[in-house]
Formats: sequence, C-alpha cells, structure tokens
Amino acid sequence: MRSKSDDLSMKEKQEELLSQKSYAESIISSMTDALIVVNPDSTVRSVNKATLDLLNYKEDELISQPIKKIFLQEEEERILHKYLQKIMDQGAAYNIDLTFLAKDGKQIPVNFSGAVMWEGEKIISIVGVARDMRQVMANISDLEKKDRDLEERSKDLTRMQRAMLHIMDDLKDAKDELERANKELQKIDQLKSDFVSTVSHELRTPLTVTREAISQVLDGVCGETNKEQKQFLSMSIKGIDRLARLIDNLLDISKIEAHKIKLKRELIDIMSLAKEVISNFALAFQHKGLDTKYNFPKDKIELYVDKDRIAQVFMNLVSNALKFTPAGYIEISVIDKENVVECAVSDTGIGISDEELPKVFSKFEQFSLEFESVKKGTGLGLAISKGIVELHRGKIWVESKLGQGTKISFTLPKYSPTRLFKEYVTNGLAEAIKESSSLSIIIFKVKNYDALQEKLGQNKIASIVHSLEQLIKTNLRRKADISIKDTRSILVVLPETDKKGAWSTAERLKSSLDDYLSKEGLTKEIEIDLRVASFPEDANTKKELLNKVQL
Amino acid sequence: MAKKILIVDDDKQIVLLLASRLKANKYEIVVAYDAMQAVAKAFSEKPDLILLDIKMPAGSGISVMDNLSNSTETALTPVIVITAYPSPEIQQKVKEMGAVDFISKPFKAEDLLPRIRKALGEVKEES
Repeated sequence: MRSKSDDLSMKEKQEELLSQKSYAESIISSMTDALIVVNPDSTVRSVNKATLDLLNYKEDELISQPIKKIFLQEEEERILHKYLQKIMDQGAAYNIDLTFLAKDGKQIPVNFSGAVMWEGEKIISIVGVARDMRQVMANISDLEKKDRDLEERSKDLTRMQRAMLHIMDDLKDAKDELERANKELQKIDQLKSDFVSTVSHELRTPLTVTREAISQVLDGVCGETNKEQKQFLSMSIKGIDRLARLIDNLLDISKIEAHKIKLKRELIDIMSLAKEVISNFALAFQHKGLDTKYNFPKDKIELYVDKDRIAQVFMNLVSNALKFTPAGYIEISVIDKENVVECAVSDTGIGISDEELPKVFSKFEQFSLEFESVKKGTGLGLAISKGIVELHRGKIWVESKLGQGTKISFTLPKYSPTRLFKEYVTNGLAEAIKESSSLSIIIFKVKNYDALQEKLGQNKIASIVHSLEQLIKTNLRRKADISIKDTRSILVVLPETDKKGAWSTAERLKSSLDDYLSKEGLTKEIEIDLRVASFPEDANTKKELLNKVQL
Repeated sequence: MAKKILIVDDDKQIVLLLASRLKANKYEIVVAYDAMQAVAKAFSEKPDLILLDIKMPAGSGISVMDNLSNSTETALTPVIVITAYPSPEIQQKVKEMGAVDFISKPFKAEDLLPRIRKALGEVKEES
C-alpha cells in the first residue's frame, strides 16, 4: 500500500524533477553558444535560443529537419558526415571548424564540439555546441592583416637598409676617390711648387749674366757709350730688375701656398719697424711731393712677429700707395686694440672701383696705372702680404673709394710668450715626428718671484729675468734653439735634442746663470727651478711634454 | 799692391763678368770652376777674399768652406757667398760657417762692390 506520505514524497520528487528540468532548460536557453541535439537519424531533435537567434530560424522550422539544413551544403558531404561518424564512433569530438548556413543564406563559421548521449547501449542523440567564430575570425583576420602590414614594413625596412648600404658603399667609393684626388692634387701642388722653385733659381744665373753684361757696358767697362745707348741699356736693366723681383715674389707665393714658410718670431717694436720701412721710401716721397703721416697713439708696441716678413708687408703696402697716389699724403697707423694690433696704410690716391675691390688680394691682379710708377709691380705684392699676415694669424682687408683713396689694414694678434712657446713646441714636435727625430724643452723659473717683486721692486726683478734670458740666449750654441722670456720664466726649445743632450745643455745654462747670480751677489736671493722634458723619452704628445714641465 | 780675389763659380760667363768687373776696379783675379779647384787655388794663391758660389755640380761651396776652415792657412780668408739659392736656411748656414756676407743672384755691381770693399777692410765698417 502506498502511504500518503509516499504519495507526498512522489509528488515532491516530481516537483523536484520538474524544477530541475526547468533549471536545466533555463541554463540551456540562456547559453550564448548554440546547442543542438541531433537524433541518430541526423534530424534535429532540439535547439536552444542561441541557435535560433544565430540562424534566424523559428524553432518549428528546425525540429525534425535534417541537420544538414543548417550546415553549408558543400560541407555536408565532406566533413559533417565524417565528424558525426567520428562522434558516434569515439563518443565525442572537439573543436571542429564547420560553417553554419543561416535562413537568410548567411554563412557563419563555428567551432563545433559534440558528444553522444547514451541510453544503456543505445545512442539516443548527439549533443553539439557551436560557438560563433565570426568575431574571433575577424580578430584573427585583423591580426593577420596587421601581421602582413608588419611584414610589409619589415620588408620596406630591409629594402631601405639595402639602399642605405648601397649609398654608404657609394659614399665610401666617393670618399676613396676624393682622397685619391686629394693626394694627386697634393702631389701636383708639390710638383708645381718644386717647379716654380727650380725655375726661379735656374732663371737667376742667366739673369745675372745678362744684367751684369749690360751693366758693364753701361758703366763703360768696355768703352764709351753714347747717351741714347745708355738710355736703352738702362731700360734693359730696369726690365731685368723687374724680372728679378717677379722671381722673388713667385718664390715667396709658392712657398706661402705650399706652407713652406716658417715664421721666425721675435719681440719687435712695430712702430720702429714701420718707420724703418718708410725711411727707405723717403726719396720717392720727396720725388712725388707726397707727405707722410703717422698715427701712432703709443710710443712702442712690442709683438712677436717675423721682422723681415712684416717689413715686407709694410713695404708692399707703402709702395702700392706710392704708385697710386699722385698727390696728397700717405698715412701709416699702428693702433693697439685689445687682442690685436691693427696696422693700416692709407692714401689719398686714385682709389679702387667696387668691381675691382674684391680682386685686390688675388694673384697677378694689376690695376690700370695712369701714372709713372716708381717701380713696376709684379701683381703679387698684396697676395704675398695676405699670405704673410695670415701666417701670423692676422686678417687683412681693404677699403677704398674711387677718386678719394685707399686704406689697407691688417691685424697682428698679440702672442703671449707662453702661447708663442707652445706654438714652437707644436711645430717642433710635428717636425720631430716627421723626421723621427727628438725635441726637448727646458724651463727656468724664478720660484720666489712674488716675494722678490715685493722685496726688490718690479723693475729690478724684471731686469734680472731679462739678464738671465740674455745670458741663456748667448749661451745657446745653435741657431735653431729658441729662448723666450715670460714674466717669471725663461722657456727654451731645443730641436733635434734628446734627453741626454737636453740635460747637458740645461746644466751648462744653469751653471752660467749660477755664475751670474753669484757675481751679482744674488745666489741666496733667487731660487731657480729647472725642468726638462724630452720627446720621445719623457712624452709623446705636446700635452704630456708641457705637463712634464708643469706648463 | 792690388788685393787678390778668388772667384769660384761653375758658370763660366759669371766668372768672366765678375773678373771683368773686378779687374776694372783694380783687383787681381784668380778663378776656379769647381770645389776642388777652389780649395787648391785658395791654398796656392792665398787670395785676400773668396767670392764663392754654393751650388756647383762637383762639390758644393759648403764643402769648400769646410775645407778652408780646417786649415790655419785659409781659415781666416774672408768668404762672400754669391748664390742663386738665397733661402734663409742657406743664408743662416753659411753665416754660421763663417761667411762674412751673403749676396743673391742677380747681384748689382753698385751693391756688390761696397760689400767687397767692406770684406777686404778697405772701408770702415758702418756702425
């Protein structure tokens, strides 16, 4: 007998079952993936809401319909069958790529997994879950596109890299070509300079013969000549002299261009140098009735310059001014500026036109001469002057007004003794390296200079240092050796001298200084510090060399 | 007595012209055309002055000066260098070797003669 409670429990169980069923159904219906249950005869047994939404069918349009209805036709034969078989054989299959066919014909790629539902030994259905792969596919295709883009970009980069490599190869070729050409040019330049030098020298001998022969006839060594003969012979001599000047100038300019001129700088008063040069032209000034004016605001300006070369610049400028100034005056000015001394030669002459102005420092530029010249020029004077000024690291420039006059100015930078010394060391070192030779420097320094200055006064101590330098100068045996006086030290450069030689020279100089100091009764007063440094024994670079002597 | 001057130059025309010029100025002339002859004449003729070219094919003027300075007989003979290669380096070198003067070619007689007189001690040196 069934009890009431049994009935009740049965009813409860039924209700529980019902509620479980509706719970499962509600899970199935709210799934986002498509759920399809297939009968063993390949007809649709049931689908969830996601399936209907995905395929755009109503439920009754699918139930009991062949499953192939919702798959792409061509897949039905090939794949679907195979997989359904596989599911039935193996019990399950996962992640099969298939394509759904929606009601409206839309193809939807899906990822399909299926499993067999058994009832005892019997297959009652296949449950399949399909996931819409469109978004994933879209993402993949997007990624693939990006990947392709990246690949394309990487290809572009590779192409660019190759192009760059080509360009670099070309550049290297061009650089090599330039270097070759440069070497060739240097060789040609050297040849040119050697040629000019040889020709210039070789011309001197026949010129000497010609000049001297004519000169002796003119001087009556071989008998009397009449006035007209004398006049003609004089013309000939003038021509030869001009040719000789041209040769000198050619040699100068070729040396300047080949950087073969070495300046011999010494401390020179620029004023007296300028006056000395002008005095050579006194007769010419008188002859043309020109005045000389000096604009020398200071009594004396001492500079380290190559005396002969700067005299040559003044000579060129003054002789030019003389040539182009029919009346008026020529003014020479030497003005002390902060870092340079500015020299100028100005005239009240015919001036230079604006077109000709940029060419004045070019080689062989001669300007129309309306006047009888003192001496005919060579067209090289200003080019040489420019070269000399630039060798001194100065600048040269011209200002002119047609009909009013011309002013040519140049600057000479002020060199401190230390700077000059360093320049000598630089040049000496370059020479020593080139010739695989040696170079030494010696520094004598008055150690207690400041104390002495207080004790003896500025003038006294300066004159002592001066005497010491003179002593060193006279005790240096070779012309190539250089001594420079700084305030408290005397700096000596000894080319082609090794460490041993330098020390023996240093000891010799020191003992002569000691003799002098003892004679003057200054031995106890003045402390002299001696330092020697030699290339290559002590140092390989200028810096090391100067460090060694603490300069 | 006329002072004796030795002219040394490999160029025969230059020797001829210098000789003519100096003879006209009442000097006695001895000539040499190369370094060896120059040294030999310097010893045999004992000139009062030597006008010496530097660049000659067989032995330079420098070697002549070297030879002369090694002997007491010739070491004191004044030498004037006359050269077509008047570089500052050569000028410095020959002065260091004891040349009393340095004249570059082409020379001018009005320049050469006073310097010869000065080298011979015929005029007082200007201070």
